[in-house]
Amino acid sequence: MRSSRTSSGRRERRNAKGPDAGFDVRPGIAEPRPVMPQIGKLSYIHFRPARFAFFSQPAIFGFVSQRNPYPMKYLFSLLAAPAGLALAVQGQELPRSWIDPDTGHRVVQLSTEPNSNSLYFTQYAYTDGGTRLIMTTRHGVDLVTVSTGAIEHVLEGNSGRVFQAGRKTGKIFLTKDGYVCSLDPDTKVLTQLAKLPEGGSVVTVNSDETLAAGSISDAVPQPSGGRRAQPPAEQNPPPPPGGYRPGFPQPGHDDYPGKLDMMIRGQARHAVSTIFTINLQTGEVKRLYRTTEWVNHFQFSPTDPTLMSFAHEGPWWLVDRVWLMHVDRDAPPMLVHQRTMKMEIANHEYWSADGKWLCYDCETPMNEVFWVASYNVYTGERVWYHLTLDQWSIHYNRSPDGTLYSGDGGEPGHLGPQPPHSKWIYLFHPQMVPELRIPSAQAAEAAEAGPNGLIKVGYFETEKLVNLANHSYSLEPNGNFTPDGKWIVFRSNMRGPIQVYAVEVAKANQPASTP
Amino acid sequence: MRFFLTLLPLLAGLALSAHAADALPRSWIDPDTGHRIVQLSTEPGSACLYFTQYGYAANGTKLLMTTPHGIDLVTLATGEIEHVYEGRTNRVIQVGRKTGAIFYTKEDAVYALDPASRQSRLLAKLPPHSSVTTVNSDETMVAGAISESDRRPDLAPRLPAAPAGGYQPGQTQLGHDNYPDKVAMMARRLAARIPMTMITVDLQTGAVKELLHSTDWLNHFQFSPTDPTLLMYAHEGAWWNVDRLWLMRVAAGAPLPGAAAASPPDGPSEPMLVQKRSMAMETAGHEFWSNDGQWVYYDHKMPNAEVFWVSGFNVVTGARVQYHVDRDQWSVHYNNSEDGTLFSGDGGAETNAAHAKDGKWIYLFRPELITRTELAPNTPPPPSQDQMIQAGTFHFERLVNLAKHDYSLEPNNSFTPDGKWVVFRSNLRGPIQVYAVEVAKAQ
Repeated sequence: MRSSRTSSGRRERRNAKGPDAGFDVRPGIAEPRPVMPQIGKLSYIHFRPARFAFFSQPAIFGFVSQRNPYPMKYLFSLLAAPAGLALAVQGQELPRSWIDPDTGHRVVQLSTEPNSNSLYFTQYAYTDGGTRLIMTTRHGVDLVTVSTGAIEHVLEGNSGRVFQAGRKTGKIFLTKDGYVCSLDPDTKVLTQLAKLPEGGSVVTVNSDETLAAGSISDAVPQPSGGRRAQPPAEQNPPPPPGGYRPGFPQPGHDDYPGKLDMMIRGQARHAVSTIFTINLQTGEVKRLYRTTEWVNHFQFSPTDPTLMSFAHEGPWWLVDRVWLMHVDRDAPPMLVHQRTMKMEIANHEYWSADGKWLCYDCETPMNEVFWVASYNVYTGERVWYHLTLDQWSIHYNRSPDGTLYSGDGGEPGHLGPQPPHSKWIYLFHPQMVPELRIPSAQAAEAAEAGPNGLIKVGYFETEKLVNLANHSYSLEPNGNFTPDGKWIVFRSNMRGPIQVYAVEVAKANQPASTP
Repeated sequence: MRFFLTLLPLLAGLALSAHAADALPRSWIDPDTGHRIVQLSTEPGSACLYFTQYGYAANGTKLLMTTPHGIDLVTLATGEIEHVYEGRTNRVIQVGRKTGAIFYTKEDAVYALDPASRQSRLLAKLPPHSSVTTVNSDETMVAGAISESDRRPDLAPRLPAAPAGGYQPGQTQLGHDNYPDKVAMMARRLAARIPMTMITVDLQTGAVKELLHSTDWLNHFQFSPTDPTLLMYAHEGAWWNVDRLWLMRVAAGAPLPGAAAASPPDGPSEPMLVQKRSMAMETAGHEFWSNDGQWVYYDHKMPNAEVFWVSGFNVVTGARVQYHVDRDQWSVHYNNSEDGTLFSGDGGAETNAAHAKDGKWIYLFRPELITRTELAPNTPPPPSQDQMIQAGTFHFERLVNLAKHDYSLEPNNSFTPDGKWVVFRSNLRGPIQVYAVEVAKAQ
C-alpha cells in the first residue's frame, strides 16, 4: 500500500524520492496516542533521567541488555519481510511507519523484536555502503536495510560486545571471549583477529581497520576485560501486567539511581590504567599512556587512522574530559577543552564524518548555558552553537555533510537541566551570529587566527522531528544520521518495549532530498 | 511607608502638569510592579548623571541633577530641590566621595563646588584639548586624556535635530544616548586612530602626569571609589571590535592581581586587560565599580545578542564571577547596591542589543551563585578550581514598567547610598526627568 487516508481525510502520499517500499504499511495513519494508565505508582518512574550516558551501549558495557527477560509473545515478525506488516502489541495494531502528527515527519520502526538496540551515538553502525544498520538484539546481531525495513540475522547467540562497523570494509567489530573479532555481514563468518591482553578492553577501530584501541585496567581485571562499573543499585522493576506497551515504557539503563555515586567513586578511585592499541593483523599490543585518571570513550577519527579522542571519565564538572592523541607518536595527549568556570562541563564528544571536527556538548556552567562546541583538529579553529534550555539534548550529532545537527532531547531530572518541553528528537539548522566587526578589527583578529583565534559562534534553529512525550529517558535515544543524511536513527521505549526507530529528515509531504 | 515617610505628605498636594488638564502625581505606585515611584526633578530636561558617576552629596542624602539651568540637588527624603549652580559647565564630573564637593570642568579648568556655600573653587588648569572625567577617592587628582579629536568635526556624532519649536507637552523628549548614527560614529572614530595621551592632573599642584600614549580610543576613565591610585578605563569603539576593559595603577599602590612585574614605585603600571575576548562578537562594556572598590562589573555578552552575563573581576584577589541574565532581563546598564548584595538594571528595548520583546523595565536583581554542591556533597571541588570563574544567576523583580519610555534616553540606574531607592532618568511622561523607585514593595 503506498498511501492511505488520514483521520482528517487528507491524502498523504509517500515521498516519491524517499526510500523504497517496505515501511508503507499504513503510512498515513498517525499513531494513536496511548493514554497513560492510572494504575498507581509504577516502579519504573524511579528511573529518573539524568545526564550520564556512559554506559548507554549495552554491547560495550556488557551489563545491560541481557537483564530483561522478555515475554516471547511480544516478539512478532522476527524474519521481517516488512511490507504489509504491522506490529501487534496487546491486541493493538501499531503501524511500522507513520507520520508524527506533531511534526509532519515520517517515523519508521526499524526493529521488530522487543529490546532491540541501536549502538551508542558515537559508534559507526552502518554497513553495506551505509545502507544497512546494526541492531543488537537478545539473540545476537541484526542488520536492517534502512530503505526497506528488511531485517537479517547475521549473528545468532552471544555476540559479546559489538562496538562498531568498519568504515572501510563494512565488517562488524566486536569483542568476545577475550578476542577482538570481526563479523562479515555477507558470509556471517566470525573471525578472531587478536587476543586481548589481561584486563584489556577495546571499543574503537581506526579508519583503515588496522588497529583497535582501549584501556588495560591494572585495578579491576574483569573476566571479559575492561573496567566495569557496578551494575545499577536497584534492579529493574518487573514488566507491568501484560508486558511493556504504549504507556508502559521499558526502562533503559542509561540512567538509574546511584549512577552519580558510581561516577564519583569511579573517578575518585584514581586506579591505574593504560591506554593501548592492538594491531588487528599481528596482534601486537602497544601500550601508549599510563594514567590514574579514569579513561574511556576511546574514538578513533573516522578518517585518520592514527588519531584518537578519549575521555577522562567522572563527574563532568570535576574533570577536563575531552582529549586527543596520536597513537603512532610518543607525545602526550592534548586537552581539547580547558574548563575555565566552576561547574563548566564538556562531554558527549563525537567526530564529524569528515574527521576534521571533534564536537561536544559544552555547558558554561552545567544546566545554565548550553553549547554544541566543535574543534577543528587540524586548524585549531573553534565553532560554538548556542542552544536554549528547550533545545538541550543528552546527545547531539552532526549530519554527514556537516550542515545539520540532531538532538535527542531530555526530560527533567535531578541532575540535568529542567527543560519543560524537551522530549523530542530535534533537527537543528545552524545559523551564525551576524558579524558586525569593522575591517580593521577583523584584520587584527585574522592575524590571530588558528588556535589563538576567536571562537566562531552561532545558534540553532529548531525543527522538531519526533514527539517523545511517551518516551522515558531512562533509555537515552542516541540519535545519529544515516550515511545518506536522510534519516536519523534512535532507540526508544515510546511504544513500550525498547525498539530502534528512524525518522526522516525531510518533511513527509515535501519532496525528499538530502539537505 | 517606612522609607518615604516625609516625602509623601510633602508631595501629597503637589502635582505636575504635563497637559494643562492633566495633573500628574509626583509619587505613585506602579500598578504593574507594586513599587512606589517618585519624580525627583520638576524641570523638563533634568537628568541624573551617567550610571557610573557618583551623584550623591550631603552624606548620600541629596542627589545631583543637571538641568538646563545648571546643577540642582534634590533631598531624597523630602523631594526638596535646591539650585546650587546657575550657568553652564563643560561637564559635571561627579560628587567627591570624601568631601561631597561637586567637581566640574569649565573653560579648560577643574572646579570644586561646595553645595552648602554654593561657592566654586578653581582647582587646576587643564592642558589644551584635554578632558577629565573622574576624581579619585581622596580627591587629590582627576584623570582623563588629551586628544585632538575635537579638531575633527567629521568624527562628531550626527545627532537628530530637536523638533522645530521644541517639544510639546506630552511629546516624548528623545535622548542622545542612542541615535541612528551611533554605531557608524563609533566605527569612524575608532578607525581614525587619533593619538591620545592618558593623563592625571594633581588637584593640589596642577601637575600633569602622562600615563600612556595610544592610538586606541581611550575613554570611560573611572577611579576606584576606595583606592586613590587605581584607575579603570576603556578602549572605546563598537564593543565587538575592541578589548575594552583595562586597569592601571597610576601611582604607588599594591600590584594588580596577576601582574607579572612590580610597577615603578610611583607608577604608572602596565595596563592590565580585565576581559580578553575569546569569541567572535563577544562584548564587554558598561563597566562599573562596586562601592567597596573590590570588584569591577560589566555587561558581558558571549556573543552579542545571544548569551548575556553580568561579569565581575575582583581587583584585589583576581577572582571572577559571571551572573547569567536572560534575554528579557538584559539591561543597558547594571548597577550594584552600596552593600554589594543587590544589582539593578535599566532594561532595554527591542532595538537594543538583546532584542528583548519584554525588556522595558527597571529591574532589581538578587544574585545567586551556582554551586550545585548537592550533586556531589562529599566531594569538595579540587584546589585546581580556585581560580576558575564562579557562575551565578540573577533572580529578578520588576520595579518600573518602562513601556512608555523611549530608549534613545538610557535610564542609567543607580542605587541611593542607603540602598532603599533606585534612581533613573526617563522620558516616560514626555520630558526627560529624574525618578526614583523604592526597592521595597509598597505596602
